[in-house]
Amino acid sequence: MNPHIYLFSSIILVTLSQFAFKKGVSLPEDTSEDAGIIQKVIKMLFQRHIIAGLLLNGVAAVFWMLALSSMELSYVFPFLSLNYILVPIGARLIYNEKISNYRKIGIGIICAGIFLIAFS
Amino acid sequence: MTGAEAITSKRNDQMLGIIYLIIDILISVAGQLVLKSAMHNLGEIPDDAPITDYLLRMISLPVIAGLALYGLGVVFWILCLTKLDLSFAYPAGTMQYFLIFIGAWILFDEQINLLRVVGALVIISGVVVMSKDIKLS
Repeated sequence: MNPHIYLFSSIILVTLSQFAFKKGVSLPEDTSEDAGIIQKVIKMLFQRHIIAGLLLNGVAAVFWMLALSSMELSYVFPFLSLNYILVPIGARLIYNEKISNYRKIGIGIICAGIFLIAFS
Repeated sequence: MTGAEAITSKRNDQMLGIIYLIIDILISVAGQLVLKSAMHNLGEIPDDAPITDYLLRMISLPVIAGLALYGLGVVFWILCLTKLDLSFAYPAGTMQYFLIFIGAWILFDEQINLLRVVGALVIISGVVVMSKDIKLS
């Protein structure tokens, strides 16, 4: 199997985990009780979106290692910057968040850089 | 707090943030190198055996060590974000690329060609441009 499949699976799963985390931390906070900071953190960790995000990250790590088993680290590592592109695009699709002009230009430049790495 | 004290306190925060960032970068790069070395030693995924065998063989001390370093790096990254602007932390974090290149060249004899270095520089400039709009958030 082409090891790039492992690489791109890993990157897509990391992006998905970002959205799970985002969902987890943006749910309305429980203010009914005067909980301490540690209780709040523990409560947050056991929230289902946060657990989903952590699981997605764990699976992403396994795919990342499978990618590393047959490809050079200096080749696969720069591909992580694809997350800078996928996260704003996902936010645009899911939350209808605006992508600023700076970000559009930045995304274009990062794409060019990844293209160069892909041919290295 | 007087104006002068406020400036000193902001500067201290930034210094602390940069220290966290440097620790994050060093630990994360070390984690990647440890993981690569672990997978390097395991060898390529065999075609003739089920992948579950390979996945089980991955559960080893070097892999756990690499993942632990990765997790610790995330902790320092979050700490650094409490002190620094994302518009600074994101581009500065890309310094990892060059440490990865140097480490992979020394440890695994990977050939770092010009295309790879130029590609990394282009990506970094893209991250710098992209980060310009998060200054005020």
